[in-house]
Amino acid sequence: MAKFVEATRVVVIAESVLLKELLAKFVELGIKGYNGLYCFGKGEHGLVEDLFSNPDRACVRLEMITSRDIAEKIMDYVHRGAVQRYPITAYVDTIEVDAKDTFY
Amino acid sequence: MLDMLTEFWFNFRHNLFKPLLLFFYMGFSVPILKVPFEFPHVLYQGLTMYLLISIGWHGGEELAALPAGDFARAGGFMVIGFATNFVIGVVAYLILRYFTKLRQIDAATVSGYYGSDSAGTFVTCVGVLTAAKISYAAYMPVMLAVMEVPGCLVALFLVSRLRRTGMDSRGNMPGEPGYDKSTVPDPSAAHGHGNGDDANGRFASFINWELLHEVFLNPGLFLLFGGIFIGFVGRLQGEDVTKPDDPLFVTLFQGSLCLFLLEMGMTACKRLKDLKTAGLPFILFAIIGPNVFATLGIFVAHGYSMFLGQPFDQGTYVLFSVLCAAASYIAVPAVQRLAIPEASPTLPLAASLGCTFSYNVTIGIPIYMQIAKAVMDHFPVTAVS
Repeated sequence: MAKFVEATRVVVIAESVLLKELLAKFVELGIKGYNGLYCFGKGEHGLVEDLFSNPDRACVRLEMITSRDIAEKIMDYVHRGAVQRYPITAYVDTIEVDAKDTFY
Repeated sequence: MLDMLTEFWFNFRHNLFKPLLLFFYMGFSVPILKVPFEFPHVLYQGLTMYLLISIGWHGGEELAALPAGDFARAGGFMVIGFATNFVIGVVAYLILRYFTKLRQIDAATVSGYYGSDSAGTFVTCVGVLTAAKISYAAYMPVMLAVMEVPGCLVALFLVSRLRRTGMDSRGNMPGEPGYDKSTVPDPSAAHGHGNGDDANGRFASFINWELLHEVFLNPGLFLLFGGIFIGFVGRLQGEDVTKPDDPLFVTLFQGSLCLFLLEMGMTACKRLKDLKTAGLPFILFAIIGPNVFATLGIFVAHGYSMFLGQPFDQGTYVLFSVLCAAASYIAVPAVQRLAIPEASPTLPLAASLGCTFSYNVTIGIPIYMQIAKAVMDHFPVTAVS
């Protein structure tokens, strides 16, 4: 029978032009893996339409399962310094994963 | 004076009902009439690519036939064009700050749009000049590329200045509504290494490789220069080498431009609704500003022509004035997306596409043609042999 343990899921939704930079940083902060989906949307900030970019890939939604400690570092990173100027949505929640899986 | 007005009225009417503009009106009416029609985005991208390459190709072919002396004159004109658009960007910022209630960040960004130029307006103007059989200098497509850059630099410079003087993360300056000092990014946070407190990376350094790459090697500039280079090298090998491709890049140009203007009409109309919150002074800026900048451009071009003792073609004046009067909608939005995320994403494009583009292609170009002609007639340049 499967045994569950708690883990932290971090979801970061940002402009796709930021993807490379964000991923590099998240890996540096300790994540072992991630899943990404291109998406679209609008919030208070809005997005600048750029002719040569793909409107279906305006935003990217990154989902990472990691430890509480690393999740805090990620949230801190996206809400501090120059990064906070960009339209970024980020949130965490606590989930249960199979104890055999090694997310962090 | 009466003759001039009569001629303007004739040109204006003549231009207003050409197929090019009729397509623009057709596009403009789509959102108004709520016709359920979406212009495919990839087709719009494809048409833009085609027009940029075509304009470059044709310019490159013409450049290959230029005598060596003309290259030096063209080089000087490019430096002047760059400086003129830089000044226009700064002047636009001062006008916007003085006459409108825009936030400083938005004024700086919009001024960047106006310090740049518009490939769409340029190709439309080429279409109008070709239809009217008005000649222009072969190097003007290169001017299109060169004069696109200053606006990006003006916007980046002004915004970096705002950031140094306390702009918060939402782009508000001290004294502006909604200013939140607690969200001013801490510059010291930009120097940490490898931990959660670090806000380092590209975001912290304002000018970086990716941004410079976008300014100087964006897809628009690349395609334009690529077209110029290929047309130039092709024609140097002989007319027979480029002739087989001319039907695609030269003959089909006008028809493709019509389709492009159909889409631009739709976009311009949709953008206009974003001006609701902008206020009358901003709308007036987007309409009156181009006339001021175009006239400045015509006088600058004429000054250079006098300095050289070399008369320019009327089309050269008109294209130069359009490069001064038009506002970017390709290069600067991409730079804004990368480097000025705090600015309004809608206002600059509403002004540049909704107002200025629509004004320039319908009313502006015939007016600039008339101003150029008046300047040429009243202050003739005598050729120095």
